[in-house]
Amino acid sequence: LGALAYDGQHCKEAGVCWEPQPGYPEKLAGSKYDVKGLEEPHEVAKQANSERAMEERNAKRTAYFHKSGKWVYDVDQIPE
Amino acid sequence: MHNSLVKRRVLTSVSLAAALTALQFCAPLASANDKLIELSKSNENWVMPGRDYNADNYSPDTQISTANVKDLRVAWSFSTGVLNGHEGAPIVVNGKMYINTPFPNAVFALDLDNPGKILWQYHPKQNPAARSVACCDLVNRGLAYWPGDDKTPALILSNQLDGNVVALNAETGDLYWKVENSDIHVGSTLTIAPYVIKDEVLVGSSGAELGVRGYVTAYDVHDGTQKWRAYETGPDDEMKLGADFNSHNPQYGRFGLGTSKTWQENTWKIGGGTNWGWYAYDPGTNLVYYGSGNPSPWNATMRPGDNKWTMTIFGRDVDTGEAKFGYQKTPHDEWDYAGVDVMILSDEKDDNGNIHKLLFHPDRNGFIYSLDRTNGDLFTVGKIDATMNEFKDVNFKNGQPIRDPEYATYMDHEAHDVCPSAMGYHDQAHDSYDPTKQLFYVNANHICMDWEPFMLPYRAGQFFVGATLHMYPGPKGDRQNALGLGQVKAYDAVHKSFKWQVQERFAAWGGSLSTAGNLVFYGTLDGYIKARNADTGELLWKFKLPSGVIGYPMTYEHKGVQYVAIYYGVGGWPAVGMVFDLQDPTAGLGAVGAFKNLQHWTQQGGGVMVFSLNGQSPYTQDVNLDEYSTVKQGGD
Repeated sequence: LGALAYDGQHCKEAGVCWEPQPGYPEKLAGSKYDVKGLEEPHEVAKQANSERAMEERNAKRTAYFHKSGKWVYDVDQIPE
Repeated sequence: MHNSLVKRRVLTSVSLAAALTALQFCAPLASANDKLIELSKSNENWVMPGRDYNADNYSPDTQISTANVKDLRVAWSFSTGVLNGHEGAPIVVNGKMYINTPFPNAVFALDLDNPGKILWQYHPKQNPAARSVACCDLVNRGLAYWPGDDKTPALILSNQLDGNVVALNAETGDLYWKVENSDIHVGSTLTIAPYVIKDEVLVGSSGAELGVRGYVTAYDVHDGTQKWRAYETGPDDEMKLGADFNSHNPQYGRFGLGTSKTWQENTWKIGGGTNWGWYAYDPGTNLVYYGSGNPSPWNATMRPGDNKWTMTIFGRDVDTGEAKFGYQKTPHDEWDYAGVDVMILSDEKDDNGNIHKLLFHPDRNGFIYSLDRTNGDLFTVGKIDATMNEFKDVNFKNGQPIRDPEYATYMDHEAHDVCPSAMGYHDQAHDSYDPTKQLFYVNANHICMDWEPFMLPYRAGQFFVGATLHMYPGPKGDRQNALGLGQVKAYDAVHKSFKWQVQERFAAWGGSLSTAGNLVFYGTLDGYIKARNADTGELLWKFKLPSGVIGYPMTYEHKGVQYVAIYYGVGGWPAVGMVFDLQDPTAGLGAVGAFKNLQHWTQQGGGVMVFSLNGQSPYTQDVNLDEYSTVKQGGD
């Protein structure tokens, strides 16, 4: 690695200062360093889907707590 | 206050603005966290991690001092019945001690008048699969306390490894509410301590070693309602960047940087940035301060870009969650310098007599940052140790660290002698600060590494690391014998200088307590609690505990006696070799080799040891206390 190596001081705009190491690709796509798994949208969406589902279950728990004064964690046990 | 405000609303906009200013000034004082601020002023309490919102682990108690610390003895002890690493510290409030444990995250309440009898205990049932997605032992950093109001009882808040947050009645231990914050099926766990501000509890996240995109969430402490959630990567609205975000320091970067400008494709969705460290809060700014963690995966070649806003010091408004400033310490991390370390607030006088409202933050990357906590300005940036080599300095003009390409990491290359290692020159230690001396007591690591990345796919719920590490003592340690892995230092942030420093056998992993008795206390991985002269660093006292320490000492006064308490129970990242019986030096994400000699000084344990002068305790004051019956002379 020579003097041109990435030292973090050449910024395209404020806060955007990354450069590839000499000889390394600028873009991941199509390079040999592409991330496997990213091409499967359901795999990458799993975290966000899980978070929305947890938020929905928590909202049901809190709503029933407001209604009844009792905390029921198991959402299947929450009365209609 | 509120009535007069309503009347003023019909007046001119000028007086309305004045009233709003007055409201902003008064609002923190009018809220329920007032009680927490009041409680934290008493030497009889230790109500939150860091002791108070400055998070300085400083006690004004002078009963135990340099003059008498040699007389410190065990007063009483308590075994939690759990092995694995015991992080954090107990909470003491209203004459009770609350104790947290590693997985399965039991909670115990003890009566300080008779600590032998357990007042209540909470043993959650958790899916044992949570263990398999914890990167670095089954630790937990502590509990939080909320003082209660006219509709809701006082609560103990606890985060569980399986991702649940529970609120327990502080008097009875009964479950009050319980919500899901993190999902182990996607690799997301909880080890961080909850943090109570006003009537909300903040909860962080863990799992950047499994590609978890980090977030921080605020819940209403009354009922578990989610108030806001802010992510550390992605679109600006999901990261909750305020309209004035970084307006004072536009060179740090402002908007639109959490996606394609600093990440490629959708890598930000699995980009890490989890926050599992510590918080601090300033009622004056209404900002909570914390750091986001490392980007995923460790293989940096797989995520070109600056990877914002991982590795960032955030100041967020506690009511809205909106970020006022964000300073990225380690753009495009190549070393796993997860930026979650402790935040300590200090008001410090410079040589011209000017007072600076600062935020102190020793980072994994080896720098010690001191920022203006009102606007994010860099004040000073020092080095935990001069042997750090991956960055040369910080350029104050653009805020960027100046990288030394010799110590970069990338594919098809093995980097050697990189300092610090992935374990950082500082990790989860909760350090202390003595405001009367303007000195920080830093528990540091002295570990360097070799690092070689490898390619791997992302599969939700599986580890997503992609690097092989060898770790060993830094240049000032003993590389032949794998000893000399830690340091303890007294640091002056205004002058970036050390008043004293000492090498430790192992990493000083847990953090410190400083007191007005001119003492600094800390525990060590090899199983000691030590007290040093806060001015000179001279070792004045130590005691051999049942096991190594990865939490921080705390102190409280009860019935006129000052006690010092500390968890024992070695574990966490440095002890994964011992905890999980690993031999390969690259196992445990490289920690096994570095700490191969830890087993010669300690084994696992789990509990609390409490010290006082001459070992005074409720039982020395009355030996018949807690007896089932006492001796009767004669009779049948």
